[in-house]
Amino acid sequence: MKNSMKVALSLVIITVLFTALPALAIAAEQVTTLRVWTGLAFDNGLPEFVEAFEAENPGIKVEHTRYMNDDAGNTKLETALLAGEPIDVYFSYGVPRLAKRAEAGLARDLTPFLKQDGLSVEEMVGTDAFYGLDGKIHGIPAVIEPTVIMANEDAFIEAGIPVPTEWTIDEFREVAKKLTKQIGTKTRYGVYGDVDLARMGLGVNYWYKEDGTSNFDHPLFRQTWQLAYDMMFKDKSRFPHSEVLARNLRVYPQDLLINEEVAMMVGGTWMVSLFSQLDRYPRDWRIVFLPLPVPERGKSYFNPGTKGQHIVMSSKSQNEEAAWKFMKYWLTHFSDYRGRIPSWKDADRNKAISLLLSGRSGEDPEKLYDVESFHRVVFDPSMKVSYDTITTAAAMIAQIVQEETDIFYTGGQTIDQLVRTIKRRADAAIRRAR
Amino acid sequence: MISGIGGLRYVGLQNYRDLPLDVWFTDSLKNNLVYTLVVIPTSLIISLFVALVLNDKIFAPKPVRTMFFIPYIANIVAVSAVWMALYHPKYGPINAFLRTIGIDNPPEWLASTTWALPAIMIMNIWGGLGYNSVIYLAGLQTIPKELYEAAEIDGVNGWTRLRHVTLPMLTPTIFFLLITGIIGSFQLFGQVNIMTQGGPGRATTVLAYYMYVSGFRYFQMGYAASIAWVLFGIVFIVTLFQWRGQKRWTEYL
Repeated sequence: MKNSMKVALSLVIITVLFTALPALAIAAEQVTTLRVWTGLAFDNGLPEFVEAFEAENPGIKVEHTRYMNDDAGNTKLETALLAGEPIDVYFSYGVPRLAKRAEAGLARDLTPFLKQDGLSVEEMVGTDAFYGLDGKIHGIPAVIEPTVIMANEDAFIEAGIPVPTEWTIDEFREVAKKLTKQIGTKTRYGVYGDVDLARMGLGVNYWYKEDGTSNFDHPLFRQTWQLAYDMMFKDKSRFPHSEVLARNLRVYPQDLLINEEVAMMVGGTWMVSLFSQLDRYPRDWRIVFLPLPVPERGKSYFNPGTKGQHIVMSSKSQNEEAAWKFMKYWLTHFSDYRGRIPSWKDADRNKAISLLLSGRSGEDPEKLYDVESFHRVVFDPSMKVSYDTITTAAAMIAQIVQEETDIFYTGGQTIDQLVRTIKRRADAAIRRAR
Repeated sequence: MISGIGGLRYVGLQNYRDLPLDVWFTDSLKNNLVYTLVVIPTSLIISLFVALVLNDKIFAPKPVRTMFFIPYIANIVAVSAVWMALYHPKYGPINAFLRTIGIDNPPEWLASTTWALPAIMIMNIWGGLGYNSVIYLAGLQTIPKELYEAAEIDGVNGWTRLRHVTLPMLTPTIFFLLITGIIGSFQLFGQVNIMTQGGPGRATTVLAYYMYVSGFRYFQMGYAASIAWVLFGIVFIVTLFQWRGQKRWTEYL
């Protein structure tokens, strides 16, 4: 290019840049954009919720991004947070992950915001939930999610078994065996999912002993794993682990119940909101709810479920006030748009439950579920939910348990080796984390 | 972690001392070694034969060569997704085929601790065929025709010709493919991350994957960096050996 043309071109570019900059600055001042990352499986409820929030709070716009709640998705969220991507509010699933993020400084302490509004988490949610490290509040659990068994009512009717209101492990095994049968070329297994006897019996901080080492040599752990193994290989009534691995079913296994590949599913009540969407999960039978089987009748146990789905404010958020408004609004109102059981006291629990059971299509809940069993099992007044206060090396221990049980359930090691290896590796991980 | 430079904690060589005690690390190393020792020789041998065939007069040489090359340039994520479906223990085509030829209990591939790594090995041998054969083809073209004519006059053909004329002339190509192949095999990551996430158990955990996990899942950046250095050291030493050795076994014209 000729020299004079180059000069002219650069002048034009500089002028354009300078005139554009003030425009950007003005635009930024008028509207606060909140960026929210959630793992919600489908968009149902979220767009309407955001509309309502924006209507009540003009000047705040909400942009939501979905991340998959598996390893890759969580890594994506954490990398975005570490790299300083502008995220204001995000959701964290499971205490080990929240603890890890809090340790890495990715979660802001919410205590000043709560104080400012005169709120106390213990009053609004309860004393039996995990909130944060060192007495700080790193996340507030948005839902109550007990672990229950959801079952195909027709399967029980067909097998001539009355649906139990409580049962022991042995009775559970018997029923699972009876409910396993061949349907055409497919097998319908009795049950999918773990009955975590260790959590049920030990409750809070069940991975750790008083002296800080791991607790995996406690007999209840061995019993849990042996039960799973026996049901898979001796009774052949439990959905095989090799299928779980081959079909990547660790995080979202709910299809198995609807496709009639299992008759009973051990899981969280988050699945119910999916099951209410008949267009996605068509079925002509009802889901009935059962409590988890217990080792001994009459004794009291913890429910392995939790108060979870923590809503967290990112430590790097520039829009704290707006973010806190959003978080309060979510805790109080999101259950109005999408069926989940809110943990926040001010939320409308009854509305949430009816939404949960009838789905957004407004079906009659009695057609989809045995509603009486839902209330009885999910809101059992004697239910104790555990919350962990110790989280040393939690993410690594979770991985160790998953890996070693993978090897065990695919026949790669014996139960003795399993217990020994997990104990040894968990102790090493705890030592290194200190 | 996000506390910036001020958050760094100096621990000397502690990370390196922890490595041999860490079963994740030792298993990753073992898996990488097994993988390299199986995939590289197999891949080089099969690709050589493919290249020899492609070099001869075959029907539609250019489209056939492209066909072989496509797996190499196809997106790893898409290819992994397809192979995951192929490898499904109950409904996948591979096991369906094995059952029809009489194998009653075909291996469970990605769901089995013994067969997960071989599954990935097979997939990568298939994927690397195209690239290796194209390089071999280029090498074959540089062999002067006079050598072959001289061999024919001497009455040499078939296997002997391969052994005494083609292979010696191909040694620089083999050397190149060996080095790049070994370096590439130690960098195995994509397929593991998508198909097995290091599992079942630790059957497919490899160094690059463990480095990623310890850095981005457990936030132990220092530890992950030390794994990276070990990886570098291994590849460096292997390449050094090969470089010294090449004087002895490669022949240049």
